[in-house]
Amino acid sequence: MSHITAPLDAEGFLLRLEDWTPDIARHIAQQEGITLTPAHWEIITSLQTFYKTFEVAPAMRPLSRYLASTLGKEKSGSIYLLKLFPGSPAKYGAKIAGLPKPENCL
Amino acid sequence: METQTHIAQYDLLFIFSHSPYGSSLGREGLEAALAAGAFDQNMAIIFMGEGLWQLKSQQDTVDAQRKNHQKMTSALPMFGIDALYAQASGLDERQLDLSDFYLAAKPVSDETIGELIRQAKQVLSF
Amino acid sequence: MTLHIVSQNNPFVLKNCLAVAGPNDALVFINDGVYALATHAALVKRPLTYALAHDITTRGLTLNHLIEPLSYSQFVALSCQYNPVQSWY
Repeated sequence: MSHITAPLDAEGFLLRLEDWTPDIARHIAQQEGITLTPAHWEIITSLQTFYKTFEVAPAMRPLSRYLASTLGKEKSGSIYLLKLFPGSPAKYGAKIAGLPKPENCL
Repeated sequence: METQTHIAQYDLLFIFSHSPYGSSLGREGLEAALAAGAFDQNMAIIFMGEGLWQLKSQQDTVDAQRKNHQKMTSALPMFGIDALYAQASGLDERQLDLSDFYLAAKPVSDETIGELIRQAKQVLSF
Repeated sequence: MTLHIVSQNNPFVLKNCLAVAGPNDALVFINDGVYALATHAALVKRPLTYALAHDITTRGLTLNHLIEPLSYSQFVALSCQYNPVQSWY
C-alpha cells in the first residue's frame, strides 16, 4: 500500500474506526518506524476493544490498567509497552489501531 | 447519614448536574473529567439533580446513532476516577436507587455535598 | 466558605444551589438569576444573599430592601473573599 485512501485527521489518525484494515495498520506503523509483530497486534486488538467498550481512546494509565485486567500484568507495564510503541504507546498504539488521538497526548 | 467530621478534600471536584442527552454539558464534563483523570489528579465527581440521570443503566443509543454516555462514563474507573458521589435527596425525588446505576456511587446528603464543595480546591460545574 | 453564583432562572439550578449552600455561604444572583429573587420570596430572607444591582434595574425589577445590592467592584471583592466560587447553571 503506497498511501491511505481512508479519511485522516491533520495528524494522520483515522477519522472512522470502520475504515481500519490490517493493511492500514501496517502502513501507519511503517510511517512511525514500527514493524508489527504478534505482540503489537495483541495490543492493537485490545485498544480497539477498549474503544468499542468505552467510546474513548485510552491515555497511558487507563490503557495500562485495562491491559493488566485483560492480557495480564506482564503485558501492561510501561516498559513493555514503550518497547513496542516507542515514545508514546497510547498515542502510536491508537494511531495504528485506528482510534482517535487520546485526549491528554500533547 | 454520615457525619461531617471526615469529609474528603479534593483538589478537583466536578459537579455534574445536567442530564446526559439534553445538552452537550454532560459530555463536556465527562471529557474534562477523563482528561483530568489521565493526569492523575486528586479528584471526585458529584452527580446531583438531573445529573443523576447520567448514571441510569441500560442507555441504548444504537437506533439514535448517538455517542453513548453510559459507555464513556463506564471508563471513569479505568481512568483512575473512583470517588463518585450521588446526591441522596435527588435519588429519592427521581425514584432512583443505586441498583438503577451501572457504576458504584456513594450516596451523600446535601450537607455533605456543601461541605465537599467548601473543602475542594477547585470546583468545576457541568 | 463558598460563593454560589446563580445566573439563570431555572428551577433545577435554584434547587441544586439552595440544597447545598450552608448558612455561612454567600449567594449572588446575576443575569437572569435575578428573576428568581422576584418569584421566590423565601430567598429574600436568607442572610448573605446578594444581587448584581445592574441586572435588577435592567430587567425593570425592584430590589427588595433585604437583599444586598452589589456594584461590579463589590461583586469582584466578594469573589475574592470567598473560596471556592461555584457557578450554578
